[in-house]
Amino acid sequence: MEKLNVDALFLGPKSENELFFKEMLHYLIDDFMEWRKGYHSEDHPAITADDQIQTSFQQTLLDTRLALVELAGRLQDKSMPWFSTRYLGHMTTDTLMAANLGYMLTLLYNPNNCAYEGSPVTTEMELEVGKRLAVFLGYDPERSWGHIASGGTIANYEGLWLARNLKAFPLAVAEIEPDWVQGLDTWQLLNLPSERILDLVEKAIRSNRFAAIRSASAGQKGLAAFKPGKVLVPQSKHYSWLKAVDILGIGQENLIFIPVTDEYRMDTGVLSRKLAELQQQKEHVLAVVGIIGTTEEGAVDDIHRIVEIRKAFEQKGLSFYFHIDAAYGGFVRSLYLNTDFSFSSQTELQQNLQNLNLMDARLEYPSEEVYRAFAAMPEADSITIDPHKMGYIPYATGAIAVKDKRILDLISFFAHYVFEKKEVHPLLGSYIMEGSKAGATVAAVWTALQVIPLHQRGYGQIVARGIEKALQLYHALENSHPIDTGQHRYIVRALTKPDINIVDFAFCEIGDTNLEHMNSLNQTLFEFFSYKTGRIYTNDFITSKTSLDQENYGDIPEHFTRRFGIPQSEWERVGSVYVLRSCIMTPFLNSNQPFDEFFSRFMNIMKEKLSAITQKNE
Amino acid sequence: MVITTKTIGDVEVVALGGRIDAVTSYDLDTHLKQLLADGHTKMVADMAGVHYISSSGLRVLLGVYKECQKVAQGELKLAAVQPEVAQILDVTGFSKLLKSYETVETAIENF
Repeated sequence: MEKLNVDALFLGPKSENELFFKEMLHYLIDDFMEWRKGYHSEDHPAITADDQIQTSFQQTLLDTRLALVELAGRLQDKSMPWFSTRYLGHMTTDTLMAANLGYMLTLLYNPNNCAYEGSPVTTEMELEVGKRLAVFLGYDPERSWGHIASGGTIANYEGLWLARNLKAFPLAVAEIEPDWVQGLDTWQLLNLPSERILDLVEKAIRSNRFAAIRSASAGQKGLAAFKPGKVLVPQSKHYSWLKAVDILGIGQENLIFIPVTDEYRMDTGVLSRKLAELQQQKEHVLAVVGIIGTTEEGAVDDIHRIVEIRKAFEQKGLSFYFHIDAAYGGFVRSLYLNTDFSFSSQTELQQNLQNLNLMDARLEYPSEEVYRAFAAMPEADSITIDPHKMGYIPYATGAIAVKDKRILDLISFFAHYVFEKKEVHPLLGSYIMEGSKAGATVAAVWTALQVIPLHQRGYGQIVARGIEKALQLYHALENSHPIDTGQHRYIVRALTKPDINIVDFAFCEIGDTNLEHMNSLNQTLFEFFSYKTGRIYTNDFITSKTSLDQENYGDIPEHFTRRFGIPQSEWERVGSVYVLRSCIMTPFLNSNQPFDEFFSRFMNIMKEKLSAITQKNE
Repeated sequence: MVITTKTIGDVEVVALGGRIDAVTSYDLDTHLKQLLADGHTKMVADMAGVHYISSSGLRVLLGVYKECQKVAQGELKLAAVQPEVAQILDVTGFSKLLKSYETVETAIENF
């Protein structure tokens, strides 16, 4: 099998593939125009040549041209140059030509994926893509399901919605069909494993008792029918979880943050102790959320340990829904899949990484924990994964996959004016949180997946490039010499070794033990490297930032500040550390230039800005 | 981009050389806005040295054109537009908005 050529997938930082892009765009637009003309070609045109020469017609066209030029000009003036290798900031980079063209074409057809009749093509595509993503994530193709959402936030909301309605169902069964759960008290009902609850759902449907039981459940009666229980997430969680518990009536006071380790992964020891404590207090656990690729650090939680913990607690009578937020890191799983979509053994993985020239062996990627985390993904009840992040698809495309599609009946909703229950066509709108949504974004994902397989020879190649560069950047920062600006010397160090492709780092003046000074220095650097100072389009380097504070991370970040010689008392006084954050998503970082050259340029740019800061302060 | 200005009568002639794009449009904008601030509302942009203009540059010209129009007899005209730029002006509708002349002298005469 010929290896996919990554360079042929993107427009390129200098529009290198401009000819192909324009050729395909023109063809697709022409094709669409003819499609319109061909629909009942016997019909008279609605707009005649006489109409088109009217002054008002011409003026309106002129107004349209000027509006478009204004749009184009504003976009040029202030847009982020995601495509460039000088952009190492947020989780965005160049997007796939296949996806862009697919999106641009499909928006002309304007399908609405809320209901089949509004999107016969893209609804089918959404279900195809959903299934492909579910299988990619390790789920059984016969039992699983997936779909495209407008982002990871909505996908996370859906995950928690599923969890809430799943956990509430047994209580409703006890009320309406008590014989089915005879002998089980409330605690036991609240702690039935997911599979067992779904068996009850299936039984209810087959017995024509589903509607009656559902009417007694949380979806119908609200939280009067069900005390929601606790949701456990790592401190490194995305802020969408705070919104999720609010929106779903669970309440932010039921959201428990589990501390992270020095690697910014959920501390599973603390998780286990917390679960034991909740069990002791007879507080049931609605869900535990693990993260693959945290937003700020790119950390990969020990998914395999969370799975082991769940199994252990189920033996002791406590069960919880397990959702993985893999919005950012989900597509990295492609690096671990053989071409037959089997999960590579560790030996196979190392061989393939070398044979396919995907990763420098000296980088020793992945670690044992990260490998096992990706391997354990299929144990989760549901997984969020964002094509608009490491799927390299334009916004806005998130996705969720569920392990057992029987769970969908717990959130299904029928609005008769939208679709017909008895139709054989897919009832997509019934099973998702959103209503109207663009079929064009689905087409973007579908088209990309037609070109790029979700395994090592496909997406694996793309994600490997970013991960390799991130690890190289990490090592280069860790081994870098101090930057001397004349009267001041600065040192730079990375927060953690990347689990995937995010490198957080910070500078500090050697000998300055004031944490506020360090934070101010890095904040000023960020302002130089962002929209805050000067024009983005002429900036040498653009990055993003984050702040790790005591409230959210406990004292873990103090281990980082300590490395700069900053005493613990400073951490206790200031309580946060400001770091620069680079997501290395670009697949072109070392194209036509060795990494050492890139890093040398990078450090020269840093030195220039540090000198500017030094001069300004004096 | 090179920008040079000379005054002929009560008209400011701004000669441009190079690309007008997202990098250089900022400097052009600054220069033309300074002329406006100094009270100059009759301008001719000598485009002989310009072979490309992006939407970013067109925005600048449109903004200055509108400001000039606010004053009686004020206007921004173009002169010596090159074929590649003329095509862009046609597609974007700017050729209907900004009057264009073959030479700077003709542009000045038509104020």
